[in-house]
Amino acid sequence: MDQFERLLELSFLRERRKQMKKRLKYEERAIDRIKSPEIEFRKGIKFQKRTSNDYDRLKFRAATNVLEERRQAKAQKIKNTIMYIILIIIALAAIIYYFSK
Amino acid sequence: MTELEQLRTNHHYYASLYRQHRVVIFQHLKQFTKDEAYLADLYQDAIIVLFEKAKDPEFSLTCSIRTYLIAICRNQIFKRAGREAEIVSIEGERTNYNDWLTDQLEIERKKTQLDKLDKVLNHFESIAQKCFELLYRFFYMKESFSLIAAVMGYTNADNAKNQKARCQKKLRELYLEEK
Repeated sequence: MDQFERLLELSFLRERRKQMKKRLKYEERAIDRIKSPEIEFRKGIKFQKRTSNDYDRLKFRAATNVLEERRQAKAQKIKNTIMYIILIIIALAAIIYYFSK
Repeated sequence: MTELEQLRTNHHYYASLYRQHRVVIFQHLKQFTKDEAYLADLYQDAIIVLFEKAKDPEFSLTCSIRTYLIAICRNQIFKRAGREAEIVSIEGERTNYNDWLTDQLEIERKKTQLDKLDKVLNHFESIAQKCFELLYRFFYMKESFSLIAAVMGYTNADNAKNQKARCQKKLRELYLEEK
């Protein structure tokens, strides 16, 4: 690993640790609020309440999830195509039957 | 599914793990200090160490996660107090938390270079999105080249690896140009 690659690795590592730390601090504050209900959100500040997911949101979705979704979409597409083919066959059979009379 | 497996597969699991073991671990650590903010800081770092270790497929635990977390916290207490000789061995772990600490110290030492690189990376994200995604998946999300190839449409893992080298070279040039 060259020096620049190491620097790049450290840069992403620092970012991940920072995000995780923020998220865990959020958890700690949430626990404090449960333990001491008198600690309240500051009044008058609206629309600023963060949710836990705001802290460790990834820039891209995990590859395994993306691939699983693609696989499911492909399976659904195949299912739909088969359904259409069956419907067309039934319709054609009905037409042929009607005209054969 | 064990807690370690959940940590490996679920990116958000570490937060619930934090709540799950917090009370017992804090009780144990209160013999060293009563300062809850200090303990929370230690415990948060321990969870991050565990999360990073869990990403390594070769990492395994023979003790419980709680024992492991306590050991890391104790190690940190001694390290922070400058008492290196008293480092507690971590039961069932092949490598110890010193890797994490080495990285952390290197991060602090290279702060100026890293700040400069962050600036370049922000710019890089806007001018070369695909390259940024590749680097982000590899370094931040720790995905393998075969997974990256499948999700980003490269023919195979080697192709993704070559592309990563090209992207890295491009980023390096930008970094060197940046004053």
